Amino acid sequence: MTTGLRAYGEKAQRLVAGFERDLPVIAFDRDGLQEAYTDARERSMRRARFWVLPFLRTVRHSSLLPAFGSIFRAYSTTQLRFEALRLLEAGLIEVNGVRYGHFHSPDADTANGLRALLSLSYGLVARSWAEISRVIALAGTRPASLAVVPLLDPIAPPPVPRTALEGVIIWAPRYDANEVSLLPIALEEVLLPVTVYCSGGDPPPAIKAQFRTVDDSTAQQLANARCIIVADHDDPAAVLSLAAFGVPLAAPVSCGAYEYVDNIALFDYEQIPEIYRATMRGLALSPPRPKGPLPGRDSLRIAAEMTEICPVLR
Amino acid sequence: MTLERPALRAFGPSAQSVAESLPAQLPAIVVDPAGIGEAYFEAVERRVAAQSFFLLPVIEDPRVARGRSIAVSILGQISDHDSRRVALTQLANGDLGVNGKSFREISVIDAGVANVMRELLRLADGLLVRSTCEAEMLSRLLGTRVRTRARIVPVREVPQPRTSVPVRSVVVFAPGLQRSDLVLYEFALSSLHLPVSFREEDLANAACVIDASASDPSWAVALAQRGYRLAIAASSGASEYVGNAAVYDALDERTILRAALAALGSEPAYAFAIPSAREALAALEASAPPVIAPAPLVSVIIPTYNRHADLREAVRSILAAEYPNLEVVVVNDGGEPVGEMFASEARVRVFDRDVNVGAFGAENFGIEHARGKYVQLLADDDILYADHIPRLVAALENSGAAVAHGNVLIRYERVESDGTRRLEGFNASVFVNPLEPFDALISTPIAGQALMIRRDAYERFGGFDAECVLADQEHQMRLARELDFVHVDRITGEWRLRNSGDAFSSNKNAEFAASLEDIYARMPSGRPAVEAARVATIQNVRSRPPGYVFPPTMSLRR
Repeated sequence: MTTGLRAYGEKAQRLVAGFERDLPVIAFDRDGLQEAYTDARERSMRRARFWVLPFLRTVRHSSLLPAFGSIFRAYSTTQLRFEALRLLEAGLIEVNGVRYGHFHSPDADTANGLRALLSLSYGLVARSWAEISRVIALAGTRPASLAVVPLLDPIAPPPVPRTALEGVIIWAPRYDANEVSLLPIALEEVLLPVTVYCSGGDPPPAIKAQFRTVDDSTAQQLANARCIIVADHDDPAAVLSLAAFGVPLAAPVSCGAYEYVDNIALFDYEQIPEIYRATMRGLALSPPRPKGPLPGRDSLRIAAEMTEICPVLR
Repeated sequence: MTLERPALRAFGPSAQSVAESLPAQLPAIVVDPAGIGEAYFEAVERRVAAQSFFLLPVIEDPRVARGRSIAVSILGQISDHDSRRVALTQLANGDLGVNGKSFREISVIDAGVANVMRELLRLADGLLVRSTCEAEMLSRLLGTRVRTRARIVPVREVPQPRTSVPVRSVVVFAPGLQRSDLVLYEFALSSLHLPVSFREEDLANAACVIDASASDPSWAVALAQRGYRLAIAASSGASEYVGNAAVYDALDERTILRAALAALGSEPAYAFAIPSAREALAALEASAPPVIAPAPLVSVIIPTYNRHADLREAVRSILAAEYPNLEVVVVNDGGEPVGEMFASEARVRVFDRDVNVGAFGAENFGIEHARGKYVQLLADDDILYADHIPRLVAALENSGAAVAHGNVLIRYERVESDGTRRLEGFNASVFVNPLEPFDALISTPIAGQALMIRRDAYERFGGFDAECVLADQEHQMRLARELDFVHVDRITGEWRLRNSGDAFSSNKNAEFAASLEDIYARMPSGRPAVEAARVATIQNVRSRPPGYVFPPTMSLRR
């Protein structure tokens, strides 16, 4: 029996690895939902207060990522790929029988489980307010207390000084080459060299960008980039870590990084031309600037402690 | 004597009420839909003076605002309690039919207001919101992504709660709202056995408070700071600052009742993480043009022909730039001499030429005589704002790119018979987009003065084809095949569109269409989609009404 931190699911365990163990938090991902619920019920029966920290795919677009790889394998030239993307956006072609605008990322079971967990919890904590909005929309219920706890990206290397001015980097080390292929295709007409950092795998053929995995030279490559395009849909961590390089950044609006960092170019994955536009805006930007210290995790402890106190009647 | 413009200004009654509780030193324009006209002028004036400012749009969530008035109608027209509940549930779900449309369809803001708000955001340096929830709502309503955002919560005062009162009531707290706006709350709370009050005087005696603000978290924050038991509207964004508060949907009467019961049974609310004005100011500071040292020389080329007053204004706008290293090259294209006008200004070089060769030829001449690392072109009747040059130089130096461009505001002026100019409107929607490679093969959406180009790009790819009617388009299309155009997404200059003597005011459609055909023939794309778009573009240009100009978004009433 614990009142402290428990994480359910591999992704959740990885993401909260550095958290203090005594935080009253149940973290979970899709795979850990059932166990998280069991823990939540057990805590509720003991009247122990806890926060829930879900790591779910709440960005609608994210479930389409593998489909883009398939599209780009089926259409082998830039012109055909652009035309396919245009038709996809216009709802004229379907992915697995579903039109682009009708995609819903999380399934009904996830939504039901999340709703049940939230109803037992003291409050919801997420990596950004943008994510909180999505979680609430998905669950259809809103706990009384909300908090944000942004995380840093453990894959991003520490910053090094710039030694040259090189091309554009797409930072996607959590995604395989297939999943991330939309970004280099959207930037196919950028004349500067484009490098994609991904987790590995075979990219679709005939993409001009170079695909790499993170290695010892990555820090220097990042420092020398003219602009870094962050691929993460739902997590501001990469932007928060990469901001230290002082290189202009572009990131999806859904990741919520703008809540913590000023001067970043934003794009919406659901409007594919915005990826190119944000890159052109990003190239013109001065370095990103953190708004201030990131919200700490202490608030989770304090908020839960406050409600542990039995109200005094006067 | 120069009067200092107040940093914080509000336009419209709701905006005034918000601004009263904000720090006066905050450089911001607070605006509601009733004040957008005046706010637009204020925003343009601040841009002209290159003063950084936030825009704080005060727009009530249209779903709640429209829904409230429809709820009044429902409760007025239906008397049976259960039938009322059915209709109100349909309203909350967005399914209610209203005059042949679903409620979801009509809960949007007026398209004209949305257009002007969008342009105001383009003129501002950042978006100031009272919550991230509000930012998301604005993004949804206006469809704009704003690079700099900051949160601020107006400071409100509420009385200390009195806990010694024996019988207390549920208080619906709704400053700024009429009693008639609260009928939904009245209906929702009618089944409570506790007394329900709508009077602010009863606040201190409240057993719990239902904060009825639909878009403003500030009252909830003040109430939480005082330790009231609290229910808040989800759309207010107060959840970002207030813990232990029950949350309800401001259009769903069932959730209002549930939240009231939950608030009665909960611990007092508390406030946390309230953003300060200092944080907002830091965000604005981050958007200031960066200082480039050493500053490379920028040559500004201004071709001119007998428009002395305009020329003086154009040159003045350049010399006012917040940039230490620039030269102005005035190329007098065969008009009356202008050298005397700038005799005392060492940064201006004037070339009085005997022969009139047209603007593009004069610009080529100026580029040949430019000494700067970067070349900026400017028509003699347009102006650049003081931050244009430093921002574009910073973009070019930081990115190593050869071409950068900003955004341009169109100012519509009528020239009267006595030569005086009368302002007729603005448009901040035409020249605000980046150049995309596909578009660059068809036509370029960039005003000439928005561009700054590294001089060696002219040496590599040539200057203007002075014989071509649309030489500026042809030049941009030529460069775009070889160079990325980095985009400074900020309005940094003005294109002045006048009723007299301007190319766009006469019927040149046939000439433009022929010129485009010529350009396309010179630059075959080999792409069927591009060729189809080119055909459509030529047809479109030919079929435009004579004297067509982009209409102003913001028109002055005659």
